[in-house]
Amino acid sequence: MKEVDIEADKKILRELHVKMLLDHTTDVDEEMRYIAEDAMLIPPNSPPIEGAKAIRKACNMMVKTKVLDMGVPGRGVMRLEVSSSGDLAYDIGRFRIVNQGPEGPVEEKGYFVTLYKKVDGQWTFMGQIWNNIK
Amino acid sequence: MVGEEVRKAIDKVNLRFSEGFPKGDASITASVYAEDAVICPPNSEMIRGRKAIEGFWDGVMKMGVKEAVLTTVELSGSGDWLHELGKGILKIQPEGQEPVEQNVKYVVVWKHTADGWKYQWDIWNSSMPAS
Repeated sequence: MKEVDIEADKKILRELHVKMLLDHTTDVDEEMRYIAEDAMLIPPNSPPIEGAKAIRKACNMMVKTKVLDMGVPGRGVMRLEVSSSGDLAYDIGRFRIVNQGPEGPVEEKGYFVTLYKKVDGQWTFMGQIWNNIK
Repeated sequence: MVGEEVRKAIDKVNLRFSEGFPKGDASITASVYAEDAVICPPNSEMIRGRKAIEGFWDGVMKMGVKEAVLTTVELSGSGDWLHELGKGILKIQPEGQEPVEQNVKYVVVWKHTADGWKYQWDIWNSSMPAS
């Protein structure tokens, strides 16, 4: 049985989180490399976005939004856990994004939970659910 | 893959979660959470710890939520952590008003503890546009 190095996996996942956050507003193709075919986004007040194709479409719309401030990428993760089997991981954290709205900056902040799985030795994004704070 | 034994254990804990609502007893509902669990309700700050979570659900029950029906859509994991994607229906009976139902989608991240499987993180939201 392959030995699991939880701390090494956590380091990789923290880096992946930051990379995906940066790519999210600049390079959808690069971001999609880490998203599983059957991944799912579960936004508040909206139906789930299921599958890589639908996620790409949603990301393409988001990338057109001018982001004024998204804090320090990665700093929002409050806890990250890797299963003892070494093939599943979860993080929980907070986010804050300021977008350019039609009438000025619009701040959005809230909390998220992300699911990851290891496929062929590479960590991939399986899904995320989030809520906004009013 | 989640084995049959684990799935049964998860189902049993979810039934326990729901059991508190018709009784109006938040301590039953909160008993499914780990001591250091976290919940992220919609439009709210994060709530940490079983005692604070009990207070949250007590408030929800006092607002008229009489039933919570959970349906597991996907259960996956291995080792000491699992995740569950599901759908829930909250049945609300506000005093002097018609009953209403609220549909939610949820993710629970489960941890295996000395007391069995517990909710470690619990987050849910609605698919309906914000009013």
